Amino acid sequence: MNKMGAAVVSLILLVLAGPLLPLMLWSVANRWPWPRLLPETYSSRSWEFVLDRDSGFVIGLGWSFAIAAAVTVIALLVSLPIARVLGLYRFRGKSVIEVLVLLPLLMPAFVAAMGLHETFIHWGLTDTVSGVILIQLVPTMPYMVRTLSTGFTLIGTRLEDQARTLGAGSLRIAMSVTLPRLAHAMVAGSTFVFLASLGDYLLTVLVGGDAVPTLPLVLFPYIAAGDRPLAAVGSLLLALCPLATVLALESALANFSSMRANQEAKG
Amino acid sequence: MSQIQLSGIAKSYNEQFVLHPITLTVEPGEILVVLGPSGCGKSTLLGIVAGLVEPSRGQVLFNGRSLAGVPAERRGIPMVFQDHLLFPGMTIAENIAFGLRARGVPRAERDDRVAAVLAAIQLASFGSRYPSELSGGQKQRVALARAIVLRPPLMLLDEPFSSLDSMLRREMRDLVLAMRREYGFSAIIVTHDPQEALELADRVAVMRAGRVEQVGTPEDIYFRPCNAFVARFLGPANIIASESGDLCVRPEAVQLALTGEGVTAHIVEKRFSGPRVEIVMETKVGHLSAIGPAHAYRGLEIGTHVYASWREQDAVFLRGT
Repeated sequence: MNKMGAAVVSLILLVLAGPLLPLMLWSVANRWPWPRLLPETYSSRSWEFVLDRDSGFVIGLGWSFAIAAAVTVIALLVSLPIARVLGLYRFRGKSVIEVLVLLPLLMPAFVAAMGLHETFIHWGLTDTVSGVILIQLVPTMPYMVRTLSTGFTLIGTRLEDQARTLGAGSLRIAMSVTLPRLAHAMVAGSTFVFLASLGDYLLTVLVGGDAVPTLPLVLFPYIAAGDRPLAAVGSLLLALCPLATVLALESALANFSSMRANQEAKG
Repeated sequence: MSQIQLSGIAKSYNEQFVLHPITLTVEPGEILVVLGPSGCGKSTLLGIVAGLVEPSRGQVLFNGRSLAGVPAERRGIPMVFQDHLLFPGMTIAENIAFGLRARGVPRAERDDRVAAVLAAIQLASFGSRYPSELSGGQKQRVALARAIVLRPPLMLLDEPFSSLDSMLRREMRDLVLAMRREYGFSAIIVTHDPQEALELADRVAVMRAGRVEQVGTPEDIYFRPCNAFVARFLGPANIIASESGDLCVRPEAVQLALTGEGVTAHIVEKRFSGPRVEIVMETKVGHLSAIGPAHAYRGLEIGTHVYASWREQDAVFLRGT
């Protein structure tokens, strides 16, 4: 059993970390001619370049996180009421609305974006931050609505009913009864949206152009130019960001209940 | 203490009545138990009083004032549910203080009231624990305390003890009655358990299929049921057909004798349950059942011929089924 377990874990690690190994090597390689198994000479040139403010990578990282955060917060705020209605109530035409909400997932986001591009030009939204945030909301919102509405269905309305008969108004119920129980769903949905936004290239470049240089946009020219060590460092950054985000969100969630308990006791 | 009147309350979904127009009054300080099988509409009735369900017709009057349009959170009528519904992220003390916070009761008074009610439910040292650390009976006591701490004029209890075992149920009943003596509230309690209804109620309203069949004191309902449904729902009943209509005689009112007057019967079954024994007989009016103290029925065995009789005042004519 233990041997089996170890084998499975090793296999998973191999599959996950395997592709990253050559990237790590490339990121510190100076010369790595074919068919050598390992680089011939090493250098920290690529890392230094990427971490240098002037290269645009660090700023790109900042843009990526800012856009992703904005997209996530907006998606969360807009999705909460929609998800609540879809998750808790039965009404005529509900399935139609559900399909409408999921529609952006059924069609490649690029197709929708091509159509929207025209409209965005009319509205003056191209080459703006708002435009990039808006276009990224198109393919990410369905994930958020879907996750949250399942969350609402799971927690139901009974605790809210209980809170109401005890005299609590809507705001108090939302803050102290519903949202704490929805935390898991909110974190799950936010992770989806945040990661999708972080990794987006196509929509950002289409709508944002040069005005919004997120990390993928900064990175792409180096990949296209065939600078392997630089591309490797950039890709590693791009791969580590989601990992760091997920870990941060998960630990935040783990601390959530004890934090809340402390706040309640103080208040 | 306040008076609650239900005036012609009805509820229908898609033209289908789940609750036919009902008119009932709960007097100040009174415990009214609404008793009925599951699906009879009793929980809907409670939801309407609480403000969680909108009635299709009629209105709820609170001390003569209509509650129509008043949302649940402003009615000041707390409800206790069958499955305690404690807030999982809050401690026991925070759970109990929840309604007080919503009412803006200052911190010091809040703490005093929570401590007092925690002591009253014998969980004084449990304030800082979380609901998941409590047993089912303890959680239900906290749910009760969370409502009582508000010193409400009226409380609603929806099958409050159904998820507890019989020992705990008895304890909870005693607790509710003790709390009422101390805090003096009226209550509407919904249950499907006739035992619970008879022990708790000042008055019982028996419901079937969205209608109130009979309202009365526990003795009234038990000894003078209006129809066969009420008679059978509240306990074992002998329903005997006669020329002037169906008669109901409770088995414990049936007297057995080896000689004398009465219906001739022979015993076909004897069910012993410790202090009491039930004797089932075959007679010309059908099966009859008698329940009495075990020691009095010693010597009566299956096959014994007996005479079954009852006093005139123990037999009640039923109107309908």
